[in-house]
Amino acid sequence: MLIHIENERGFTLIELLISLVLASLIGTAIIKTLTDSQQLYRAQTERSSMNSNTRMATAILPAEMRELSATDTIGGDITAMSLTDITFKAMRGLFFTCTAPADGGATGTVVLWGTRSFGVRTDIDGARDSVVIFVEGDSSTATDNYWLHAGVTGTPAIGTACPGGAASITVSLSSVRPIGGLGGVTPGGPLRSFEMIRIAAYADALGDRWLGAQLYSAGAWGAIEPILGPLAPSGLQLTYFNAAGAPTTSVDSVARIGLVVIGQTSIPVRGTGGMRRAVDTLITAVALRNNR
Amino acid sequence: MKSLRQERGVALVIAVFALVVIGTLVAAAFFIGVQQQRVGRNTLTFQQALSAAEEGLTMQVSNWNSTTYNAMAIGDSVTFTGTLPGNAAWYRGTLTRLNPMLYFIRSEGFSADSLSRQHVGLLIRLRPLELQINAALETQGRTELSGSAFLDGSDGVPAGWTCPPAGPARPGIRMTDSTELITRGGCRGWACLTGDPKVEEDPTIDSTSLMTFGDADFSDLRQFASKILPPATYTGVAPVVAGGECVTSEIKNWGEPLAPGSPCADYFPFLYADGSISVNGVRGQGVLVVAGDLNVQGGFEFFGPVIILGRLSTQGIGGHFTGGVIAGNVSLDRNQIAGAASAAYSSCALARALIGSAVARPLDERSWANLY
Repeated sequence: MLIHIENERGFTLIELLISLVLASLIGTAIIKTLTDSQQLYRAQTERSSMNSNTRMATAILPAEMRELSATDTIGGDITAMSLTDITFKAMRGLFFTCTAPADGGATGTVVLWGTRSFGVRTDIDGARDSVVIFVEGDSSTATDNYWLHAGVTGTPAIGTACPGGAASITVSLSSVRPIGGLGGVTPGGPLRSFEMIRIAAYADALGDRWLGAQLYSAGAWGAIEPILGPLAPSGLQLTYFNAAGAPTTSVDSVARIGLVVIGQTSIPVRGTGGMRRAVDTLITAVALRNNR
Repeated sequence: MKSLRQERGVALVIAVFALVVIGTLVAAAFFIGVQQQRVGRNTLTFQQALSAAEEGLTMQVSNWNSTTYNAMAIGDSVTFTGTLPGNAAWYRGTLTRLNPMLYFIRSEGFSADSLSRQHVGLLIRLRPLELQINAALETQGRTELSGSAFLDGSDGVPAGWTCPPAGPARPGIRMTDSTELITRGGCRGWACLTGDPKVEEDPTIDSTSLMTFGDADFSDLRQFASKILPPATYTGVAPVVAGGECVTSEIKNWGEPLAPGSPCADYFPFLYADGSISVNGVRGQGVLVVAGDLNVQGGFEFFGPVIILGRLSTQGIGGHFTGGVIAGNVSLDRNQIAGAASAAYSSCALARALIGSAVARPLDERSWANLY
């Protein structure tokens, strides 16, 4: 017996199959789009971070290197240099003497204005810092001016030893070079504190390369600490030029430092060559402002 | 009429989903773009601020106001502000005198939007002419003293000037060959000379030794000049004051040596005459360099060193030099000091004029500081 069902509704098997195929196609496309957009977002974030890193390198390193004097005949600020690292005296503070120093030959004492100090650090750290002090000598000529070098002994004393009972910082000096140079220091003259720093690219335990800094304190080098990164292999390239613009390997004739920083993303990102770590190169040069 | 229940499809859902996906992508791209723009703008404003700070330093050195700055007391400061041409980046700063020779300039630079700031410093030193005058008059060749001319080697402090105590007496005249010194009239027999000794003979004196000043020679002196004098006769040289200010732009204003309270008392110009000049009264101070001959009359009074490439001649009531005179007399002509002329050695006048006329330059090394 044939039963006719009026207004029969529903999907045929064909319709169901077609709709399932279409739905899966659309779903796949949506998931792909979402995944791609997530990867794109992550890639862009990584690239943005990498760009910031390389830019930071070209802000931090030139700021340190610009203040160097490589040509100081008593002792230039660059003590070692290579393609991948540089060791130098990083200027940290600028102070002014308020009285004539006590000259003990290779030792001595300087009293600094406590209220006139500038720089990254406005104190002097006896463990890390050494100093250079301007020597006026004969005031009728500038040809005998120079900066003497000295180490700092103990912790500088805060007091009121400047004229008029003004705030003071009293610093004990050792290893004064040249011996007796403190006799030529005039009140009001500048003193600059510095610490030894080594800037280098290094690899951590996971093999990632970083731009790092190592400080010299209490007679020994500390551990290298990351400043920024990660860097690509050969991600830090330093080149050195003399005043004539020719490449030099002599630490006391450097007038300009060429700096190449190649940053890379911390994870592989999709690019034109597939998934890999993207790199970005930033090139700059720093002229040493304080050369003679 | 069609019921909603009869509608089929997933177009709306897909459209909404697509909009969400596209919106997310756009938002992500926008976010990253904004971040990059901010980083770029930070770099730009950093450079603007640094350039402005550097400009603050440069302007103070290149526009050194020796009248004001060289007279500042130790520890005193002056402030300055300025704007970079071409954009609104600006700077402000302080110039402080550290000791008699050194100054420290601090300059804070700001970007055009004032959101980025850089702070730099510069140590500068007065660079007076390195001049050693060891007599009232140093010269070579034939020199004639006559009339009531007088050369005084005893170290004196000009009236009203504040200086350290005078030093030992110097020679009245130093010259290559004392037989070239001719004295006539009241000067006969070196009667118009005082000093220790009255006449010092030094055979090493020649054009080179007279015209060498530290690491500079005569050809370098023009760059020190604050006032260039064309060859001419200058009559009535005198300080010019307007509105309580010393008018340093006036070519015949050579400072005020006789009235310590005058606005021009601290004005010590470095005068460079491009050839021979004549001066007929009245007074001045500073450093006077003449690339030719100097002819003086009318009782002109000058305080400070005088360096003459050629010869010195005075007549009438002559000229009165306090400090010291070098007459190079490079053509070995005749210096003629006649009339009521006098030259008196004064270490005080020499030192004040040299310091007062000095320009400032950054220290030879380690002058620049990043103050953060």
